[in-house]
This record gives sequence, structure tokens and C-alpha cells, in this order.
Amino acid sequence: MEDVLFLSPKFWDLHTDPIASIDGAAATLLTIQYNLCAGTLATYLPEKPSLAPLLQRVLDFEVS
Amino acid sequence: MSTFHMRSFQTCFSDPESGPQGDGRTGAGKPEALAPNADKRNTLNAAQRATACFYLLSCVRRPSLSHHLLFLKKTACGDSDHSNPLPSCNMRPTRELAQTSLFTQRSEALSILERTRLSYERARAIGRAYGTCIRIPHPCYTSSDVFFSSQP
Repeated sequence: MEDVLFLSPKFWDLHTDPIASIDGAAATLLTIQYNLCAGTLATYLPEKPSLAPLLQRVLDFEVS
Repeated sequence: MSTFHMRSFQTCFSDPESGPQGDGRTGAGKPEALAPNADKRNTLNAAQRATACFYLLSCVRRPSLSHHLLFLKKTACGDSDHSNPLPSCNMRPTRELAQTSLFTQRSEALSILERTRLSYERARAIGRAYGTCIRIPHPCYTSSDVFFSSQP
């Protein structure tokens, strides 16, 4: 299986939202949550499907 | 304000009987030249007023930085439709969120711990605002938003 990281339009909308100019720290935390944490977990998702619930909790911002 | 907007404003507020007022450099659009027709300018119909308000709000709501970023986003996504000079940002799910107390309170007087907590709450609010936005059946982000797998 060939894994390809895909940035959806919704993902771009999040990172280009002008609300990030209000609080840069919040924007940094947001990008860490979705890029560093969720992006890393998603890379290993095909090999380890058991990561799906944890990834969904990360995407729901229930855990950080 | 861009030339596009200025021309739109001039078209909206020009006298429909005397025609367009030019590009503003010929002297036809000077206040003294428009003075005899000043009363006619108050007879704008509803459509002209709505158009003028639309362009005014479009300029206010779109700072040059966000406009530039949206253009970059459309270019990066392969969207070749550049005919619209003002890409819509009215669909941002965080538009109302930016006016809530969570984002309007100042953080300068808070301690480091409280600032960190506030920034985290803001980040979570932004993430959940995008998760609950329109046209997405799932209430929050899904793995397909950050990951795409395909078999050759």
C-alpha cells in the first residue's frame, strides 16, 4: 500500500483563517494538533488500524 | 482600495442620465461638476445601494493579507478560476467565533498559565468550529482530512 499525505481544501481553510492573527499561540497549538500529532498518527494508520479511535479523538480535540 | 472597487463605486454613484463620470483623472468627476446633479444622486434605487454596500463590505472584510493567502490557497489546490478577484471568505466557520468573549478578551494581564490555557481553549474552539462547519456529514474532522490512502 502506498501512503500519500493529502491536504484537503478544508485543511487549507483552517490554516489560512484570519482568526489565527488574533492569537498566534492558538494557531501554533492548532497546527501542532493537526499536523504533528494527527499527521504522524495518520501515517501509521494503514499498518495499525487500532490507531483509528485515538486519531479520531485527536481530530476531535479531545486529547492533545 | 483597488481600481476594480473604485470603478464599481463610481458606476454606482454616477448619474445614470449623464453616463459614466470617467476615470477620475479627466475632471468630470470633480465635486463642482457633480453639484447640479447632487439631488439625483439621492435617487439611487435599491439595487444600486445594495451593490455599493456589497463592495464596501467586501473591502472591509478582506484585508490584503487574507486575500493574498486565499489566492495562494487556490493556486496550490490547482484551482485555475481566477476570474473572481474577491474570493469569498464569508463562509469561514470562525466568523462568529471571533466575536465571542473567548477571542475578544485581552490576555496581557493574565499569568503565563492562564494565557496558555486561554490559547488552548481558543485552538480547540477553532478546531471544533471547522469540524462542525457546513457540508461535512461528520461532526468533526475525519482522518480523510489529513490522510489519503490509495492502492496502486
